[in-house]
Amino acid sequence: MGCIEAYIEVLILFLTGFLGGLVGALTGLGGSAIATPILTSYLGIPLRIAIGSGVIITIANSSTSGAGYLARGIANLRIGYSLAVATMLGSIVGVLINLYTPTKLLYIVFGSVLIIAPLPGIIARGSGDRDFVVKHSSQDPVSVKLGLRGIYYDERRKTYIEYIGSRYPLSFLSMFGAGIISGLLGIGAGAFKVLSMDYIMGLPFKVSTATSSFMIGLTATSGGIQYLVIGYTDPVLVSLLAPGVILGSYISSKILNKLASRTLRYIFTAVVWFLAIEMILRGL
Amino acid sequence: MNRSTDADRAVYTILRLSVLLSLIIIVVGVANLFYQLQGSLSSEGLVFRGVSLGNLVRMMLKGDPAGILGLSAIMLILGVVLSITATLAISVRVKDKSLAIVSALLLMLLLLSVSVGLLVKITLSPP
Repeated sequence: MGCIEAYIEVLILFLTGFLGGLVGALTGLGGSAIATPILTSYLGIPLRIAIGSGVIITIANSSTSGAGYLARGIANLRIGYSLAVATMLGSIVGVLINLYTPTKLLYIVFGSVLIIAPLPGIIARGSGDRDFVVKHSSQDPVSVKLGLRGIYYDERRKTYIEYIGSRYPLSFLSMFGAGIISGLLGIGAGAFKVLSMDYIMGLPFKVSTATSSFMIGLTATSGGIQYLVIGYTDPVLVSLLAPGVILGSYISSKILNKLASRTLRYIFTAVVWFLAIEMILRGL
Repeated sequence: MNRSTDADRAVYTILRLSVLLSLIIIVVGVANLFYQLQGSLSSEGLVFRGVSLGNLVRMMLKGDPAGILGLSAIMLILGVVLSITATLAISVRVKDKSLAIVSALLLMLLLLSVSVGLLVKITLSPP
């Protein structure tokens, strides 16, 4: 009957993934950002194994949700690919930093990022109809060359919204930073990507979040390959977490995002901050 | 009601297929894991450890359940690689120079990731 222990572990890991997917999608942090602290703090999984496995789960999550946005014409493939050059480069650097950072410091960095990351989402959601504001009227030469513009159909307004992306060089730099965080901690770092596309590039918020969701998978693939080649990925852990994360984020995006009140978002953010403080305390 | 392109649709299809295949592998793999470990599981339950790509391939060849589960991770990575390759092929076909260059750059960066990973694995000893 030794198997019962294993069955319970499978159930716990599925629920961890589910909770990660649910809270991660609502707070814009992604499933692995929530699952990794739970794995390390409560289930005793070594931090680097949790990170190396979490980054693969991030690919699964993005391939499910981000791809859906592409099919609906909300995510912009061209902008996503152009910025992914920076995030993938950053991710390669981030993994290298991870390998040579003391584990205790890694806990502190992880916790600090978890505290900062939900903030842009909270601020952005409070600022009303930003989707329809034309933020930049002209493009820099690189953005023109790359053809960073698009159009999407807005269900609420029943109209097509045209937009342009500008300030590509500055956005490239900030995306490089987001890529470092993604590679370093094995998370999607979507909040930082949205911030860059929304505030620097001037894209509509809806396009920013959808394109970020798609790009996260590209960034995670770069980091995921490195962790897999080096040997910090646990295939069993990935397999037991991934279905829960996918289901949790699916429910979150389809149901909770429409129903959730601001209070519920604050409660989930408080959960994230609780996990963040635990991570920081482990590092001290 | 949307303006998705051929490349968008190709990427969507490939990524969704890779997730579907990955989930099928997970279901089969987990069932196989429990079947094979039924008699040998200790009361400690499952053991989690990092596995390198080389070991993963060896485990797969031996039919190790964890190796089979590793195939799901490889499937997800392959999905992204194939989706970028499809974008490159489509952009070359429609003579979209900028998208072709960016897609090619992304593939090169993935190659760089593998190379850096191998370099770290072979020459250096991370903590």
